[in-house]
Amino acid sequence: MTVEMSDNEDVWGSDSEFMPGSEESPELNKLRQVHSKRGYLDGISSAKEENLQAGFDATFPMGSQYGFQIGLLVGKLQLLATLYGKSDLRLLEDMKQVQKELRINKVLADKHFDENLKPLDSLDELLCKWQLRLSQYEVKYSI
Amino acid sequence: MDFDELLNLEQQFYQEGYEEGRNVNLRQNLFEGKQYGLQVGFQRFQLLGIIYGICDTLIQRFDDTGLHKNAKLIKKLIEDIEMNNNQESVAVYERSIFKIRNKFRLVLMSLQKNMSNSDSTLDRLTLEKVENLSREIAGEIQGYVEDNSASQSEITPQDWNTDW
Repeated sequence: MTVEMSDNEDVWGSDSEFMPGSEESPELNKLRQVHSKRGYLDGISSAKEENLQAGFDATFPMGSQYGFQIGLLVGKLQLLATLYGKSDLRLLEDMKQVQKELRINKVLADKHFDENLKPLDSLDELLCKWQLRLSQYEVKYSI
Repeated sequence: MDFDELLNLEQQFYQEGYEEGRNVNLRQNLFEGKQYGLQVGFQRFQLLGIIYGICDTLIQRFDDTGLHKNAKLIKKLIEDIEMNNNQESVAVYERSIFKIRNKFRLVLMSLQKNMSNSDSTLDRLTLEKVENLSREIAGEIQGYVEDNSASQSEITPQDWNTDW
């Protein structure tokens, strides 16, 4: 598939990127620009949805582990809140707070991942904070 | 420069551009796929984590044979689901989730019975309540979500399928 582009649309930004040395003539530079651009657009089209599934399968297990770990924490806190929340307002408050802080959009957020979607320490710190809090309630209620 | 040389140059420049364009899109697709993988994995296993956590604590907290039996069975069913997107693992998940939900309903009924014995003023924990909690945490989202501390409403309904 060929995508037509007008001359003033430049997908790469600066033209100078394609001048390896000042010795390249303007004609050659123009030739490079025209044909590289045509190739670039065909290359973009050729990839279609390739790699989507590979990416999906690569991170699904990590997403699963985070989901499970967070579910575990929230489930245990929910049960404790059901059993003891009437007489433990701090526990009820934490139950509300955990739903805000460990919500999917707070966990799978840019600030917790690098540009390759590898998790950063900040994510583990967030989970550790809540794990510790849960442990304190488990000690308090002899679970 | 003769005609053949010119043609070769055109082809060379085209090929360079082609490779670059293709690689840009492949990298972008890989990234988007990874975003979806993270989300869907999170969503699928987060409810299972909640159920597992509740069952785990119930086993330690209550001395009830029926409750123990069902809670342990649920834990076993969940442990048998591998955390990957292989066809086989997805089939195990789909086969088990119905049974897990039904058994969990029974576990929560046992909990209710045990709680009634001690304190009748306690709120009842139901499967619906647990599922609402799960939706509150994992939502149903489309695309990669950005951290947005100013709003809690950015989770939107989705219509995409995990099986591309």
